[in-house]
Amino acid sequence: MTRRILRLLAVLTALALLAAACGDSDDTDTSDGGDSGGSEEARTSDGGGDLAGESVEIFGAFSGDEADRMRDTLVPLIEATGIDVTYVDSPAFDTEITTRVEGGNIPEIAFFPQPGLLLDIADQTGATPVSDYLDLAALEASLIPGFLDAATTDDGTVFGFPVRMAVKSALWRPLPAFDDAGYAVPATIAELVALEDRIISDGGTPWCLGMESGPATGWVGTDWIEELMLRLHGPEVYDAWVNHEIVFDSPEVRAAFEEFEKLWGKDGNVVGGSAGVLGLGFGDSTDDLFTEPANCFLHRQGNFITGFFPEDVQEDLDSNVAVSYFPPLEGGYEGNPVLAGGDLALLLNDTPAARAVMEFLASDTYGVEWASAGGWLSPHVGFDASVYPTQVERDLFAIGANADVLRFDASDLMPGPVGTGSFWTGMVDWIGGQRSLDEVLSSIDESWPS
Amino acid sequence: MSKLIVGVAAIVGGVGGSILLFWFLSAVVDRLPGRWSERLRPYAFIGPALLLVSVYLVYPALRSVRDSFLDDRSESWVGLDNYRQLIDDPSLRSTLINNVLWVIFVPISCIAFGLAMAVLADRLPARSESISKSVVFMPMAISAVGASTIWLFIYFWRPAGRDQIGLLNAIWTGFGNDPASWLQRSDFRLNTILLLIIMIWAQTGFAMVVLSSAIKGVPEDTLEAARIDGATESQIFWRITLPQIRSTVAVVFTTITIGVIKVFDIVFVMTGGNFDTDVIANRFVKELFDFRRFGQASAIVVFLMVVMIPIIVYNIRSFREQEMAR
Repeated sequence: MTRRILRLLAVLTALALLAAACGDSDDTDTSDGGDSGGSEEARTSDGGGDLAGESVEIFGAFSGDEADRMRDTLVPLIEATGIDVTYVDSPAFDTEITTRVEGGNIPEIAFFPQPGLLLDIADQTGATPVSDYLDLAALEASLIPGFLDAATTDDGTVFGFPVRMAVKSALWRPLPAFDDAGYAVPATIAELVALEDRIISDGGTPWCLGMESGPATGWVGTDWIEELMLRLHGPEVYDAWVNHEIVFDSPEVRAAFEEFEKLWGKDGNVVGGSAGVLGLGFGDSTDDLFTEPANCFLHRQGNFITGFFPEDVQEDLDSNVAVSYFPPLEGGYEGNPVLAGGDLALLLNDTPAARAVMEFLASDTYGVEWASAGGWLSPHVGFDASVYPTQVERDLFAIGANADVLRFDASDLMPGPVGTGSFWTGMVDWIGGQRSLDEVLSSIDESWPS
Repeated sequence: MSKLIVGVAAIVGGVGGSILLFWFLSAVVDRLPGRWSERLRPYAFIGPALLLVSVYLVYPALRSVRDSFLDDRSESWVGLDNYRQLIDDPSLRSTLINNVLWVIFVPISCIAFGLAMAVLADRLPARSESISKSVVFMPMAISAVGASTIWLFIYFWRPAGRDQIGLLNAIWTGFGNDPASWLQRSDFRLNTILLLIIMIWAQTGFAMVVLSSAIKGVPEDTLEAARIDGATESQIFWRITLPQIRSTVAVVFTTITIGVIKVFDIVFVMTGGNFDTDVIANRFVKELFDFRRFGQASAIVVFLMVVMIPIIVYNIRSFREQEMAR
């Protein structure tokens, strides 16, 4: 009898262990930003004093090393004003900011990677427009043109501004293989196509283009379509497309898909052909740039891709890889459009201390500490590029700074069922040959929520 | 460290709490006058479980049914719109074809392989029997995500001219063929077949163990009598053994079928539902977590529930039959 009870207890214990293992505690990192840091001169015009001791919370998505570097950028402000600024991050920022707003636990400032969510939350909370606390015209002139458009409502109110830039219109080439072969950086799409042909006739493969990304497979392809939409038709058509005023099954969008097909559909143009496009990981596919001899010579991807390069390449970026602006299309939009992204700051709780922090974040010298540590690009045209530790970063910054119009990732701005759904799967079905271009375009239009 | 403390606290609190609860309920029942005490005792013990089941199962199920008639944010009534959208979706047909393939192939294959293993292993010496059965059972111990990751490497593809680290392509190219990107091959639903093989691999062990114990429960004298009457081994299997374990086969079949209808993790890990491999449960996850369309997601869940109820009823009936036969 006692043995039976013991056995029962053992089972119960095992079950409880299981339950404990499942119900893992998720500890939110709430360490504050006031650790060590270089003592630099204060850059805010505010004469501290009166705001000392006030606390301001910044809530954002980036974590780990990035969060620490972000905290370092706040040190000069904290030293100059005495404001107790803390940066809190959450891996589930998107859902958490929504619940915090609904629950009334609102941070003073939040950094949004998604402009759509920023506008939703600004609308929901009645947030303070930027023009209430900053000189909007001066800010607009300081930023890369078009950056504020993403955080502007339909009636023209600007709610947020960028505190970090990500550049997507980047064309990567391996060094020294690219130069050794005698190739030149293309200035137009026509030159790019001529370069492809030359690489093929030299017996090489021009492009590394992997799209595989688990359940998110397809986003690399949507980035390509966006890049080509901007180059073919310019920002106005692009915006209309984002808002579904121009449907997918239209001559404009079809032209972008067809332009892209010229690239992945051309024999010998892409490593592994269309199977390679869909089967190779977006990160792994860059390995082929750095083989000996190089398996491919061209790659288009955002600045984050350096983190996926082989370790020895990352250690000495500048002697292994170079980056240039993904060229414009002759006969298309005249100008240098750039596809980009960034973290956008929104003032949610309007206090004098929070305003002082926002003013500090909007300065064109903000972020020097992070820029010199690496991995951060300023959204301000006038930022001192010499601060960046690598030539690659200086060039990436220049791609952004030289742009005459900047646009956010369209798929991020489209409704979820399209932007993270049918647009992605449409790319996969189309390239994989499961569905024709006609079927794909009309099915994306059908999936657009009414 | 803090996790360890939480774990210990959960064990002490959970087990201790349960003991205290039942001790308390039983003490209360004991105090009641004689007849009531006996009448209420079963409910005192089954009550907490019933309460938990209704809070965590019945309520969410009812709520899903309600939500399936509401809009994406579960705020206003939209009637049958979610169901209409589901049916109108052109990709639904492809998804349903895949689910049908899964339901046809997986349970039958698991039973066939499991039964074959059980019968053959039964004839081995005890030690070899337990070793061979352990090997077949082992995939059961791996999570579906883990199993999928293993098979991802088996189906792995690289462009021609590179080392093929995938087992299947290593063999395939060994015969002089060009490497094939298996998971992208949707002609004749080859990729779906490749995915459901993973489930067969993982579930055969379960079928084998349950069927094996049923086979061992077949009375020896019935087999002996058949042998004396001159029946061949295959006649004995088909006419003596199989009819006697029929209800166990039915239970295993329906249990695996229910698991197959719900299949999600293998598809999610291997292809994410791309290349015409999508299944209904994966669509649910996409609708709920990626698109945040609660109405649409609930409609899919209700659809799954409706499909599954008859199978569950049949499963329970067979189980009762099997219990009664003992």
